[in-house]
Amino acid sequence: MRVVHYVNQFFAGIGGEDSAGSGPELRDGATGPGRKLASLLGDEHEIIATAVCGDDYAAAHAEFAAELVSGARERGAEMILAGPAFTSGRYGMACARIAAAASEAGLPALACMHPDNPGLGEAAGTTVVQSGLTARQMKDSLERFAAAALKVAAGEELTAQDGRIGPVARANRLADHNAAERAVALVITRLGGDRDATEIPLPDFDSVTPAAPIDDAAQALFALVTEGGFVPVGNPDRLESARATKWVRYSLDGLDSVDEGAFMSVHGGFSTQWANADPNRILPLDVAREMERDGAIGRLHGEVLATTGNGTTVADARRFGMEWAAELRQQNIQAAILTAT
Amino acid sequence: MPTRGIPFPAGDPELGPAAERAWRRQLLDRALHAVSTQVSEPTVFDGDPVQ
Amino acid sequence: MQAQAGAGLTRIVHDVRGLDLGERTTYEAGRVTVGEDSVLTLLRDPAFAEIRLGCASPGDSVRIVGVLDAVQPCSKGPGGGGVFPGLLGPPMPVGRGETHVLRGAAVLAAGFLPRAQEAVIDMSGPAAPLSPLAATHNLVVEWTPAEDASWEDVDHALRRGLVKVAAHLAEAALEAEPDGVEELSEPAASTGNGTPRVGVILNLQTQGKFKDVFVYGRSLSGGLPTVISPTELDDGAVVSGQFGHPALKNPTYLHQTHPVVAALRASDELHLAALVLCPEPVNQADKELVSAHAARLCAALKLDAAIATKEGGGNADADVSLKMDRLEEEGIATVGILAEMAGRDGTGPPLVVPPTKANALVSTGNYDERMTLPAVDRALGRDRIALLDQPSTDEIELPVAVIYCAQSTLGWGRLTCAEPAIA
Repeated sequence: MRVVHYVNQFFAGIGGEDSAGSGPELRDGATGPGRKLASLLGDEHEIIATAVCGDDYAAAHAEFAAELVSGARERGAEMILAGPAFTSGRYGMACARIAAAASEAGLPALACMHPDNPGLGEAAGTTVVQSGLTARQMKDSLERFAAAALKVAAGEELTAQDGRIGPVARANRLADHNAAERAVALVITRLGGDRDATEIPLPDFDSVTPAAPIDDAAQALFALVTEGGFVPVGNPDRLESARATKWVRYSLDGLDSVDEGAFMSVHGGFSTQWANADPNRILPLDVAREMERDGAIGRLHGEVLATTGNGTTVADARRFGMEWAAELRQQNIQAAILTAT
Repeated sequence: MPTRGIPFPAGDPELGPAAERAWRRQLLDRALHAVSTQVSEPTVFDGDPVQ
Repeated sequence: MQAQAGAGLTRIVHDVRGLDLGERTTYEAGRVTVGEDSVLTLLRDPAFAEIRLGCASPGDSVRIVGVLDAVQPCSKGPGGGGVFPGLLGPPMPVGRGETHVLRGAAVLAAGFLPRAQEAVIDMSGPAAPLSPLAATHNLVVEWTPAEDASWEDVDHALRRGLVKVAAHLAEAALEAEPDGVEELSEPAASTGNGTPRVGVILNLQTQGKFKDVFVYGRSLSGGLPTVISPTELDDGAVVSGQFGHPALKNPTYLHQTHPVVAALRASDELHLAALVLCPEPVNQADKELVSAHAARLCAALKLDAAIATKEGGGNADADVSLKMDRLEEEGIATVGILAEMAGRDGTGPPLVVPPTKANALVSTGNYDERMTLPAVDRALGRDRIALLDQPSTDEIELPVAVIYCAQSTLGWGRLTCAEPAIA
C-alpha cells in the first residue's frame, strides 16, 4: 500500500516549541521515525510522503487534517498513519484528527499514542494503537504501530491484544434472538461458571492500591492539595475555571493562613463567594499551621498544588494525579490532604 | 470525608468564626485519623475518631 | 413445557390474521371485525369531545404517531370476567382459570398528552422490525378532548377505555375453536429436581402523573417490592400509564406477554420461580432501599438467579444496577437488560449508572443512534411530528429513542449494540 505518515514539527526535524506554529505540508518519502516505520512495514508498503504540521497550528486549525488528507489522496495514498505521539497532548490530538479525517474519507487509518494522551478523546470514528509514555520507548512503540498497521492494511480488526485503545464506536444491529432469550441464555452461562460474559463491557475503572497508613502523624510531612481552583488573587498563571489542562503550585512559606484579598478561587462550577471571603474554606491552612505548631503533625510542605476540578477530562485528571504523586514523593511527603469541590 | 457543601469543603459559612474554625479543626483531626488507618477499598470517614 | 402440579392459568389462544372496522364485533377464522358503534360506546366519556377509530396492520404503509399505550385483547368471560383487575375487573388476585387472548392483535391509543414523549410506530420499512406493535393488527384510538376536561381525565378515560375495548374484542372469540391451549403454571415453592430457580425483577416506573404504572389499579409509588405470580401478568394485573422514553416503554401489551417470562417458561433448563414487582423511586436513598429489599425477597424465595429489567431513562439504570449488585451480594447470579445511551456516534459511555459488582448485561441497543424512515401513505395519531415539525407522512430522521418499544428491556426486540468489525 502507498502510505502517508503524519508527524509533528519536532519529529520532522523542523524545530521544537518555537516552530509549533508552522503550517501543514507534505514532504516526499519518510522522515524521522517514519524511516524506521517504513522498514518495519516491509516491502509491500511504501511511505510515499510525510505529512507535517506544527502542534500549535494543528490545535488551533482543525481543518489542517482534511487539508493534509486531501493532499495525501492526490498523491495516491491508500493508508494514513499518524504518530506515535506518546503523551504529547497537542501532537496526540493532531494524530487523532488526521486519522479521523482519513477514516471519514474512507481511507484505512491508524494513530498511535499513549492511553493517557488527551488527544485520544478526539479519536472517535478511527483506530488508535498504544505507544509508550515517551520517545524513549520509540522502538517498541514503532514495532507495535507497524504490526497493527499491517493488520489494518489487511482489513483485519484490531483488538486490545494488538494494543488498540480509545473510543470504540458501538453500532446498533439485530441479533439472532430477542433480548429476553439472550438474557435467559446469559443466566445459563453465568450459572455455568462464566463470570465475564456480557453484551455491554463495563467501564474499566482504575483500581488503586491504597498507600500504607502513616505510623505517626506527629512525625509525618503533610501536603495540602486542592482541585478547588485555588490561586493567588489575579490568577497569575491563568488556571482555567473549567476543563483544566494544567495544575499550578504556590508557596505557603511564611503564611499562617490564606487570607481574603491574597488568595481566591477561580472554580467555574460553583459560587466562589464563600471561598473568596475566607480562602481557608478551600485550603485549610490556618488550622494546618495550628496543628503544625501544637505538634499534631510533623511539618507542612511549603507549597500547595492546585488545579480546577470542573469538567476535567479523566485523562487530564489522571495525569495531574500522577504528576502530583511523583512531585510529593520526591519531596518525601508522607500524607496529603486534598480538598475537593 | 463528607463535608458540608461543595463551595466550602473545609468550612461552614453558617457558623460563626470560632465555631467554623473548630469545625475545620475537627475535619483535619479526622483526616489525620484517616491517613493513619489501614484501608483496602474506598472508605468513608464520616465519624469522629475514637480516642 | 412441563405442567406443574397446583394452580395455574389456561391460556386459550386465538390467532389474529386480519382486523377491520365493521358493523358488529366478530371473530371468525382469524379475522377480527371491530363493531364501530359498540366500541365507540365503550369509549364514550365526558373527557372526550370526539373519538375516532383507525386500523393498521403489519406491512401497511402507515405511521402511528404519539402512541401512548397498547393492550392485547383478552377475556375470561362476558364483560371481561375479571381481566385488568382494579381497572375493569374487581381488585382481586387473578391468574387462574381460563383466559382467551387474541394473539397478533392490539388496541392502541395515539395522540397528544402532556409529558408524553412522542412515540412512532412504522408498520412497514426499516423501523417495523423494531416494534412489537408493528407486528400486530392494531385498532388505533384517536380522540379530541372535551373543552372542560383535564389531561388527567383524558388519561384515565383512555386507560379505562382501552382495557374495555380489549376485553370486548376478545369476548367475540370466547366460543371460537382455539388455535392453541397453553397451560401456564404458577411458580413452585421448591423445584425438587435441582433445576435452577430464576426470578424476574420487574421495575415499574413510579414518577407521578403520566409516568406511573398500575398494579391492580394502584401505583407502587412509595412502596416496597412485592411478589406476584407471572400468570397475574397474563390477566392484566399490570397496566401502564407511563408515557416517557418511547423506545424504553413497557406498554400493557408487553406486561401481558412479558418476553422474559415467556422465555423462562420455554426453558427446559431453568424454573421461573418468582415475579418481583418493584417501584422505581425518584431519589437515591429510596432506590437503595428498594434494591436491598428486593434482594432479601429473592434470597427468601431461594432463587439461584434473576433477570432484572427497567422502565424509563438514565436514572432507571440505577434501579437495575443497584439490584444486580445487591442480588450478587446475596449469591444470586443476576442478568440485567439495559439500553445503551452511547451518543449519536456510539462512542460515549453506554450506561448512566453501571453496576459495580455485577456485570452480566444484555443490550437492547443504542438509544441515540439515528435512523431514516421513508415517507408513508397515511398517518394515525397525529398529523404532524411535533419533535421535527414535519408532516407525519414525510421521510423522517429520528433517533432510535423515538421508536415505540424498540429498546424495551422486557426483551421483545432483537435490537442490540456491538463494536462493528473494522472493514
